[in-house]
Amino acid sequence: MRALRFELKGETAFFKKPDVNSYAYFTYSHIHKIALFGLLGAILGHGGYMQQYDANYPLTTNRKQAKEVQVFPEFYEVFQQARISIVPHGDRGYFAKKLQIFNNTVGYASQEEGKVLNVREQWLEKPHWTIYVADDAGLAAGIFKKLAESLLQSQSVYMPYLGKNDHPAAITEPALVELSQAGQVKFIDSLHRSDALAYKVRGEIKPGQGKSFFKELMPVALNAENNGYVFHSLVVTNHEIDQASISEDDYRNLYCDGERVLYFI
Amino acid sequence: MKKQLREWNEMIKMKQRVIGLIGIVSRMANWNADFTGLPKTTSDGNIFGSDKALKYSIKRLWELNGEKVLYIRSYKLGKGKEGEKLQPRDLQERYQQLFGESVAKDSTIVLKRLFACVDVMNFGATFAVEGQNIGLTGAVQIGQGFNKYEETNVEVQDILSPFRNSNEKSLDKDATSIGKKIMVDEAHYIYPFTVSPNHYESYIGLPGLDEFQGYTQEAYAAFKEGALLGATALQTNSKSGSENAFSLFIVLKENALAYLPNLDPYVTVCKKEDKTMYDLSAIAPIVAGIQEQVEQIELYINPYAAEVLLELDGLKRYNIITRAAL
Repeated sequence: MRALRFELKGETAFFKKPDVNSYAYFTYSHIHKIALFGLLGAILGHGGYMQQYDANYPLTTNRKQAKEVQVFPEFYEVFQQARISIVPHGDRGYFAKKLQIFNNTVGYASQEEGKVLNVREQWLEKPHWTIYVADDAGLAAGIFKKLAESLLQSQSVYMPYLGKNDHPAAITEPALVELSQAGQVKFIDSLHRSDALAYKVRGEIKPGQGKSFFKELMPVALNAENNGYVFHSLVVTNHEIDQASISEDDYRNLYCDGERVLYFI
Repeated sequence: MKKQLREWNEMIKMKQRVIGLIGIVSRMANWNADFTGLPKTTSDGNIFGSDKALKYSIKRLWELNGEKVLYIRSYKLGKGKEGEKLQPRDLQERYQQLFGESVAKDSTIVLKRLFACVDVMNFGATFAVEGQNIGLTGAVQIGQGFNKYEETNVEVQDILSPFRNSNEKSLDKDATSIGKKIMVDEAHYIYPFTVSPNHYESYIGLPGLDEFQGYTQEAYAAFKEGALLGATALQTNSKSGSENAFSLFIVLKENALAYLPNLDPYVTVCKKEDKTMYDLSAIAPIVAGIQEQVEQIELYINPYAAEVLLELDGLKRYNIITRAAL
């Protein structure tokens, strides 16, 4: 299978978790599927949530009346079936985080005493992933071609960022690569679904590495009702996989890029 | 005095994307403190300044120049139990103060007013008041400004307060109290920024916004002025040692959509005698890769304090203070 591969990096990143909305805002540990779709959409110039809102509640009318002409933001309409793979490069598949605090003093931000809002945001530091976008039926052929051309020629309609626009994204080393269907795999290098997958308790660890196991409930889709996240738990680990536990479904999503084993989510 | 607002149809549409860097030097100052008073850091101790700190300095400059700035703190006298007290305006009050009218029900009128503010035009807006929900992604996007100088030290000084602590339980109730002032001896914050004039295209041609044509060259000129002078002009107690050291503007050709990685990781800072050397030479091959899409490259530096190492085709150098060609 052909895929578009690129390195995605930044100094800092913030992918907001919607489930905590007071005192502090937390980030997912990695870029997730929806944020990645948003970033790819920005490159191609597709609209986001705000443009969707403007379409459903036109500026020129009474904005309280919903019309729901656009169920999803445009970028999601375009990319929702796309298959992607995310390979993290942090220490143990993980990046440092720090809670950053800043003031919003303009006086409009909240009804706090003195009108000063303390915003607390948890940021990822020095995030770096290798991203693969599959050239398959999940993505209209024209879209994949356009995306590949944009990245290969460093073109972007809107500037891509990592979750929030004060964290610019660096996209480097774009390439079209040919991936082979994985046969027997011992390790998976990317984030992957692990519904059925089991890891050998006394199995091998990737040579030269310490044991690591990361698991987080992350967004993998949007629901049509209110564009809320649909979650799935994703794993990245260097533990050996129990061969017997790999399902047919898993095999359909497993590919190899040289030595690297990818799981398309 | 407020500047007379020009009509949209007199303004010139901006069609070029700009990618660049803003270097802020902070000597015996605290450009951006965290909540403990120390300079903001990441978990590994690297000092940085937030995009907010830089935008604030630029907004203050605009306000000083008499331009309309919506998202900045302003005060009014509010009625409290014990009499009149200074109190920051809320968004609706600020809107009313700037435009002499309450927030209209019609979103296009509100949008027209918002775009009349130089800060909204550049940095965008989140305008959520009763009945309105307008979000504008700014044409100008600024990243975090990391300190690229390795010799930075944080200095903590004790400072004497002229007053005793009025808390009777306090240990120094009979003496004046001591406070702390925290600053860095020297830091060099390098901010990446981009200007994407295409962000407001979808609002062009809306009924009621007939003359609006998107991001304008006037708005960009205001941003550029801020990028050259904002930090220098900001003279507060903690920031009076902070100033604009250099700014780089890579202006692309009309409607070119080239994208560059952030340039700030490629910058190194060192000292040569008394001068600061900003080494930007690692940027050259990146820019060369999109050379055919570049219209002009301008570099503004303070030649008395700094030198910038950068060789690029068509690079023009200017004095950041006098604006004269170097």
